[in-house]
Amino acid sequence: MYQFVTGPMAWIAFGIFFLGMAVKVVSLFYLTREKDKVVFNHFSWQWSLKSIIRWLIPFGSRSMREKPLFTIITFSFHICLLITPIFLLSHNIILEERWGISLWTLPESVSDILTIVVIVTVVFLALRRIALADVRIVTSAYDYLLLAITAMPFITGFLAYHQFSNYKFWLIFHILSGEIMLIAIPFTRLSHIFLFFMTRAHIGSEMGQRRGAATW
Amino acid sequence: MKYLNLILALVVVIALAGIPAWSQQEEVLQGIMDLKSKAFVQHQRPSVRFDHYLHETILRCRVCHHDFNVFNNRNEGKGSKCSTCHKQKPNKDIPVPLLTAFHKQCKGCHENYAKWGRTTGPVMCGTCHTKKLASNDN
Repeated sequence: MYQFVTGPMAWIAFGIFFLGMAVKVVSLFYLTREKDKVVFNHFSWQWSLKSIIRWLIPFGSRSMREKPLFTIITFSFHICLLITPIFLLSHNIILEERWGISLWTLPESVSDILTIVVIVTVVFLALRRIALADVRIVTSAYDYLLLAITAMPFITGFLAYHQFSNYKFWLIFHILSGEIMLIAIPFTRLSHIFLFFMTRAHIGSEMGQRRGAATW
Repeated sequence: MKYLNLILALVVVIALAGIPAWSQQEEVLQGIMDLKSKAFVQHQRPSVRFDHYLHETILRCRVCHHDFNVFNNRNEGKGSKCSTCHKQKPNKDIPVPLLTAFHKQCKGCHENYAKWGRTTGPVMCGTCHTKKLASNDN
């Protein structure tokens, strides 16, 4: 089982992730050219980049400043979510063994804390959908499913690292849940990993270049 | 001597509890070693318990204790440890760092055996770096 999930299954998952995202980005690009051609006539890199950068900086946009608690939670969530798997020691050791490349790695105790931050903030994000009426009315089971898909690799990874009861089960479950997340990304709203940059560029340029309005 | 029975019972219990500790020492004598290379200043994961006896019954020494010559032939480097040549930072002569050497030596071989469909050893991180073993040591 371990051989399968780290071998063919890993290739399939990464393949679907990269290919799926490439297809999605390119097809959206062509769709825009077909349906909203005018975007390209007035496209401004300056306004686009401004919008992207503003929305990447904590409290960089007005809505973030209006909801400081949510901003702190969502930024901690996203930063830890990205940093932990990329700079995790064991992931890089496997990378080194397989391809002879590896990145700088985090100390294990630090990645442990970052993992806990991801899990705790996911709980907050789920509670937010229950607690706030204006978010609740636009929430369906699908939203919780996406949160679960995102949180699962971290929960199982945490349990595997600490070797709770059945280590082999947790590790295989961890790898599988990571692969499920990778596969889910191109087909769900999780594709905002890449599409964030496209939508911000689009809105920033549309509002900025054409109307002179800052979208942050 | 109201408590004699109690004391006797305690003595028996302590003696019984000592058996696992004693039998572990037997294991050490049979060639089970804890891989705790001093070259790593600080170990990030629990040290690995390695059954040298088991491996020497199925493999020739030079499979692991290798000493590649200039023509990349595998000679015997009997008795040498990984850390004798492999250092934490790779250099021009020995391009494989110590951590990778350990991992490739154990896990790499276990993975090959699995690929060949043969009985093999552990390949998952926590099956070698066991937390329980580490706490027994202390």
